[in-house]
Amino acid sequence: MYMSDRRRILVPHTAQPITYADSPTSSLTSSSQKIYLRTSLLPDASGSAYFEHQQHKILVLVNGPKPQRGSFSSSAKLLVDVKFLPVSSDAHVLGIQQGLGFETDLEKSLAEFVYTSLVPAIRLGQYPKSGINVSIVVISGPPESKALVKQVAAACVTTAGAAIVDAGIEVLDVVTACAVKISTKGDISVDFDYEQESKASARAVISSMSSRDEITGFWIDEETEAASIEGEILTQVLQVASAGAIDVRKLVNSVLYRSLDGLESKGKNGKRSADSISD
Amino acid sequence: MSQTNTDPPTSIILSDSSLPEGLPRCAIPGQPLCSSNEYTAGPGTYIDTNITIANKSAIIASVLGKVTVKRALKAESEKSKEQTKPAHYIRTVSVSRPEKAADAANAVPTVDDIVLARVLRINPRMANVAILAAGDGIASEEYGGIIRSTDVRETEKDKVKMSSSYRPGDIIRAVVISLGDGTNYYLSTARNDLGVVFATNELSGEPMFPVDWRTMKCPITGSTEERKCAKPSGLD
Repeated sequence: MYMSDRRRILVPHTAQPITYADSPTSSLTSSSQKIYLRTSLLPDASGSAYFEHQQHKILVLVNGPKPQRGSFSSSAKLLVDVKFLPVSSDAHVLGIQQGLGFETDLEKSLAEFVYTSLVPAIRLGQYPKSGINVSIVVISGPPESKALVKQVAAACVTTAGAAIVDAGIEVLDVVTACAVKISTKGDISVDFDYEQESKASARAVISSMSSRDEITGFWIDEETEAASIEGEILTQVLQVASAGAIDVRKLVNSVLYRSLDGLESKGKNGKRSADSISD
Repeated sequence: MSQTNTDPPTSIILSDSSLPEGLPRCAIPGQPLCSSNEYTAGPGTYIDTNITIANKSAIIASVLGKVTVKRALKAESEKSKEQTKPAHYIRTVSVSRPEKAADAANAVPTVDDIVLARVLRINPRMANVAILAAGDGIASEEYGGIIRSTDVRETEKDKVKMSSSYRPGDIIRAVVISLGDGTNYYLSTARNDLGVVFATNELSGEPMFPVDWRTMKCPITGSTEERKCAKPSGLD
């Protein structure tokens, strides 16, 4: 069955991702663990945040709360959608071609994970009959998507959490996320760096409200047949990931604090804040 | 004359350096602020029963912003103001971002909110309006509202004529009485300070001024039109 998407200009099926003269992978791994996060960058959206770390470039827009027509609802409805730009990486270009412009499986599962992670944190009851839209644009993702989906998921959740706060929407706590991997030898470590040859027996991502010590989202995939993540190992995975999420939270906190100071010093019209942080 | 219920004159807003000791100047969502023993939770905060400060549930920030404390007299001690001691004050802690106050997040109408709305169309039973601003915020999209003929004024509700109360295009001040159904909020103007605040003359198109509670006059032609006027603020 041929179903074409007439509303978008699709990439030609022979499209290739941009490759740079000097391999970006080699230069980026040397400057590892540098996150750039900035809020309030788009005045038209209620809230926005931009996240950059190695290959990941993610932009999140929050629109709302805005009136929702239809049947009465006593709390706000949250809508999350994830979109990979066609140029974001070769794997996703393939995905988009398979989907002919429709939402791909990867985008759908990422959107579901971000929704699950954010819903417990937002005080939806404060906004009856309203809708909150969270649009996530992955401008650039890692080329080998399969292995590094959890990293993208963690980045999406962290950025969306910051954008929600930037929109002034009432939340119980700021949501941050951290990806972890279990190596084939059984070592559990925070999965933060881009690796070209990346092998692990399992990868997971955790979203948490750190100051309340609550986990809002957990996504784990076993990558080898032999792997079994149970009992003691699972507890360790949760501990390592929660500790990682607290580290990310510290970064997000400092960005939010600085955005507040930036707004104050620039007066009422200044809707800008720029922060770069590194740990 | 029904008195509009404003804050007691003795209410004080404290922020920045004048904040009581122990409170942070700025807060991030999730940050515990103080004990619910000493303060009540205002906008931008919530009470968490799982986290305790001084054996009482903690008040926690739910938005990013500056911390302010409003000190107001307790309602029952209002009558005997001279005997007021600091213990009779209610201290409300709230968090807000001044430059974000007009944002959509603050503009979701809730019951008892005073809203500004534009009249869209009228029929003998009710007026359809679009809510433009609620609370402190400006709505990003217009919320629908309805004023039933029985909610136009407080007296002689059965004799209300919608066409001599509002006209399409008028800007009115109203109070939200119910969240209503899926599409509309229910509003009321049955108070002296509520009603039409801005209307233009049918002939000249000029903005009119209120003459009494049910008449507005055009400054150019001098012709009058019927409206349910809001009492201008500052008049006693």
